[in-house]
Amino acid sequence: MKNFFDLFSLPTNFSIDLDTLEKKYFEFQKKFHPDKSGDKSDEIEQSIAINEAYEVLLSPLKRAAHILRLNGLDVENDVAAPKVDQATLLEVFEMRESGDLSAKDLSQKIKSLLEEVSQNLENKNFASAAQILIRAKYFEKTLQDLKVKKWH
Amino acid sequence: MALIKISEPGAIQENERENEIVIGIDLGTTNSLAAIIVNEKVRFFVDENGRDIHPSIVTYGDKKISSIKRFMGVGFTELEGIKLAPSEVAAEILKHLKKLAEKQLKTEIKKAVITVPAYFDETAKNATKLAANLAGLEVLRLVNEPTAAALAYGLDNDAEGTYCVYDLGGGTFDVSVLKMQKGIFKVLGVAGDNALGGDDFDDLISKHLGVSRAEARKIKEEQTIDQALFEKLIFEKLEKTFTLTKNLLDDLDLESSDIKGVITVGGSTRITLIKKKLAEIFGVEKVLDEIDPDRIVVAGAAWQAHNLSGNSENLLLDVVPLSLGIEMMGGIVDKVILRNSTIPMALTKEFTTYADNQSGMKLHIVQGERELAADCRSLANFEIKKIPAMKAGLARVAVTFKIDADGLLTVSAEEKFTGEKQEILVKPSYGLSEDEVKKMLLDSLQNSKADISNRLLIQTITDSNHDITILQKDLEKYVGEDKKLIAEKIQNLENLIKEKASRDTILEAKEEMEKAAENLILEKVNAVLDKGIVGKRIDVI
Repeated sequence: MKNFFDLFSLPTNFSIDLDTLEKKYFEFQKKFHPDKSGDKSDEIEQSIAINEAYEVLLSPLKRAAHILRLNGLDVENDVAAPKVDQATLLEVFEMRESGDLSAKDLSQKIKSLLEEVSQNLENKNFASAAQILIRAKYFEKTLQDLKVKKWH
Repeated sequence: MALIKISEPGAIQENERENEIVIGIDLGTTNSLAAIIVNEKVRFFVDENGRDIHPSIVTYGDKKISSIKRFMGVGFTELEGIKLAPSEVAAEILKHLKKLAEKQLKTEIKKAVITVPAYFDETAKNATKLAANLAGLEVLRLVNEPTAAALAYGLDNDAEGTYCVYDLGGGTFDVSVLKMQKGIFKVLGVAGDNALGGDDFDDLISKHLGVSRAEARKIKEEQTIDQALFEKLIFEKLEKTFTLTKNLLDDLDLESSDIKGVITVGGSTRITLIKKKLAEIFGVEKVLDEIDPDRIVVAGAAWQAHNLSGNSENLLLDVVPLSLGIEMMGGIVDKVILRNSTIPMALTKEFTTYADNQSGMKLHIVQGERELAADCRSLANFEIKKIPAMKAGLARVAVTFKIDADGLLTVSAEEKFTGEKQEILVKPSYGLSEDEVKKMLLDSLQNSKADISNRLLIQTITDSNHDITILQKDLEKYVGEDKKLIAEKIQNLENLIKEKASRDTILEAKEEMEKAAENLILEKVNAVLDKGIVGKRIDVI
C-alpha cells in the first residue's frame, strides 16, 4: 500500500495543510500531465497516480480511510470490515420518515463524526476510528443519494 | 527507399509536436469557428466574405442539414429524408474550417484541438473524434467548451479564484465551476443537459405562433416577439439550467458567495432573462459582461492548441462529467469512477466468480448517475474468457478503468490467481457498428483528391519496384541481344523513382521498360507454359 502522504511530502496526519497539498499537486501536474509530457505512457501513469492521491487526501473521509488502511484496516474494500450499527440505520430511517432529510443536517452530522474520527486517529485508537468512520460514510452515502436524486 | 519512409510511431512524435501547426475549433450546433494564436493574439479564420462565424449547415443537393451536433453519437439518422451518420456531416463542417485555415496560413493543417460540450458522453465524444478523422484532422485534445471559455477569459483577465461558466448554446447546456490561478485552470465540477439550447426556444416559439422554425429563430433573434410572452414560453427550460447550476454548487459544497465571477458563453446567453436570473443567484456584479459569447470558446480552443504545441506554461485540469460503472447482478450499477474526478484517471476493481469452474465473466460498462444500468447509457459489453477452473469466489479478476486526458475510456482486465494478464480494450463506440466506421473512413479517403493522387503515386512506385525486382532476376540468365537496352531502361526507371518524379513520368518509363523487355517476357512465358503443359491431362489445364 502506497502512502499518499509521502508522495506529497506531508506528515501522515489526519489534519493536513490543504494549501501545501494543492501547491505540490499543481507543481507535479505541471510536470506529468499528458498536455505537458507529450502523452508518454510513464508520465501518464504518474499523472494518474497524482490525481488519485490528491483526491484521496483532499476528501476528509477518504483521507481517514487511507490512514486506517496504512494501519491494516481496510474499511472501503474489505467485506470483513465492520458494518454500520443499528442506531445509525435507525437514525437515518427516522430522518427520512419525518421528511426532513436535509443536506445541511447530514453535512453537519458528517462533520461532527469526522471530528471524533480525527480524535481517535490521533490517539491511535484505529478500531474505534474505523467504527465511527463507517457511520460517517453511511451518512455521506445518504447525502450523495439525496444530491443525485435532485438531478433527475 | 527515398519515397516511402517508415519510422517508429513514437520516434517522430516529439518533433512533430513542436513543429506542426495546431488550430482550435469550436464545432457548434448553430455555428462553428476556427482560430489560432499568432503573436499571443487570437486570430480567427475567415471565409471569402471576411466572416469568422460559419453556420454549421451542410448541403446535400437541395437539402440542408443543420444542428447535426444534437445527433452526435446516435448512429445513422434520417434527416431531411437522407440517411446519414452524424460524424459524416460534422466532418464536412470540419473540412470547411480546415480549408479556410489552410488558405489563410498557406500550409496543410493536420492537427486540431476541438471543443465538445462538457456533458457529452463517451459515445458523442468518440463520434466527434471520428468526424475529425474523416476530415483528415488528428485531434490533439478534446476540450470541454466551458473549460475552453474559462481558459480564454482567465488568460485575458489574469483571473484568479473560483469562477462559474454558464454555457447555453444552440443545442446544449453546460455549467462548470473552475479554480483559476496563475498558469493553472482546474475544473472542480460540471453539469449539463445535452438536449437543451436555443433550438428548443425556436421550437417553442414556432409551436406557439404557428410559424416555421426558421421564422421562429428570426423572431427570437430580432426580438420581434413580446418580451413577456417569450419569457413565459422559455421559462421552464431556463429554470432547468438554473436548477442544474444551483445543484452543481451544492454538489461541490460551494455557496454562490464563493464564486468570484460568472462567465456567460453561447449565443443564447444574450437573452436578458438569463442575465437577470444569474444576477439573482450570484449577485449582479458577478455576472461578467464584455465577453463575446460566440467567440470565447474557439479562443480557448486556440489557446489550448497553443499550449499543446509547447508554447506556454498554462495547464488545464479537466474532469469526467458522468460516473462510469459496471452492471452487477440484479441490474444495479457499481460505480467505478465517480463524476467530477480529475482526468487522466484510472481505477481498479476486483471481481470474482459466483459458480464453481466458471470460465468466463461478462462485463457491461455503463455511464451515468442512475442506480439501474437500464437507466444509464450503455458503453460496452465485454467478456473475460479462459478463467482457470476453480471454486466459486477464488478467481480474482482485476478490471482497470482508465480515462485519458480527452475523457475517453479504455478497460483492461487481469486474472490475479494465475497472474495471467488479459488485455481487453473496449473499442470506442460511435453509436455505429465497426463496419460502418470502416466504410466511412475508406470513403473519406477516396473522397479526398489529394489523397487519391498520393495513393496512386505510391501504388505506381510499388508496382514498378515489383517489376524491377523480377526483371533484374530474369535478366541475369537472359542472353538476348537486347539485354543491354533492358538494363538501361531498368536503370532509368530506378533513377526516376529516386528523384521523386511525377506519377506520369514513372508510368511512362515503366511502360518503356516493359516494351524493351518484351522478348525476355515472351521467352519466360513460353518456358513456363512448356513446363506446365507437358505430361498433363487436358482437363487439368
